[in-house]
Amino acid sequence: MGRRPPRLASLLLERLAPGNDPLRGDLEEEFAGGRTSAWYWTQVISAIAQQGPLAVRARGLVAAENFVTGIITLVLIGFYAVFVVNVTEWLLRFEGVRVWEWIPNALGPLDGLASVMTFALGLAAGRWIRTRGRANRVAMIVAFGGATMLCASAALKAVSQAVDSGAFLPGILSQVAMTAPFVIGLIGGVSTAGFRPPVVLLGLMKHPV
Amino acid sequence: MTRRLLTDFEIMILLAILRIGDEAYGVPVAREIEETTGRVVQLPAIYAALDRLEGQGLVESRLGESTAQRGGRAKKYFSLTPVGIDSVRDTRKALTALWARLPQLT
Repeated sequence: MGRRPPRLASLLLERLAPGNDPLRGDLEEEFAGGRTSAWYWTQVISAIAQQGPLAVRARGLVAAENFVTGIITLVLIGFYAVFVVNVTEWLLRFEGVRVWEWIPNALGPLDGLASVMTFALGLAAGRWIRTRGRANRVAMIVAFGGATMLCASAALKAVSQAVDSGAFLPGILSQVAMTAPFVIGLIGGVSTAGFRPPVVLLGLMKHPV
Repeated sequence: MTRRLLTDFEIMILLAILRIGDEAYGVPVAREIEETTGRVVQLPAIYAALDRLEGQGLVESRLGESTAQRGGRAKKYFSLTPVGIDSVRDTRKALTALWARLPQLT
């Protein structure tokens, strides 16, 4: 087994000047052949100086594209949720069925425990989505869309109840307290299944959900 | 069509590849330049120049074997294309002509 180059330098090379395996192989070969750590670091800094700005720029473009795609997707899902819930409510009203009553009550007696439970649910959903996403992109999109629709529906219900009861702001705050843990858990779940949390939050995913 | 002349670093790399032959990848190219010219070169600079030259059609590459010593990564062998050889000739011709017309250097 030959000498291994400095781990931090190798990590920086991989992250900041990616996609040049022959160069990395050459550097490892030279290091194993007796080059010093200082030599290795010099080469890594040189590689980053030459390739880093291009890589960061390319990554930035991908991030911007994913972020915009993610926002558009969320807006479309939100509009879809509003449409479906309202049309269903309107249609079933004639049958005496109240759709709102089927949706989980965010303002129920569980209160604080509900937030913990929704966080756990979001975490599990996120991990499942991410795991399935690797094998089946459609499953990932459907699951993410479903989870978002659930949040949107619950929010609609809370808004409706709050407006009816005249306590609009407390209703909204309660709903945020209910849905935010779910969303945070969802992002956390996706992150722990393969992506760094800040990367996911900033829309830097390779495959936008 | 007038081809652009090569920079000093590019001509050194191309000449090193010609001197090494079939086994020209990053490490021997760098070593050849260092031993022949005494100039210290960085491997990333060589790869950046080779990428540029490959994009211009002056060199071509093929992936070779990978070894444990290289962390399992393949070597990338370079060779000159006919266009690359013509560029080397053009650059030598231009430099030779310039040298020939120099007054005596003190």
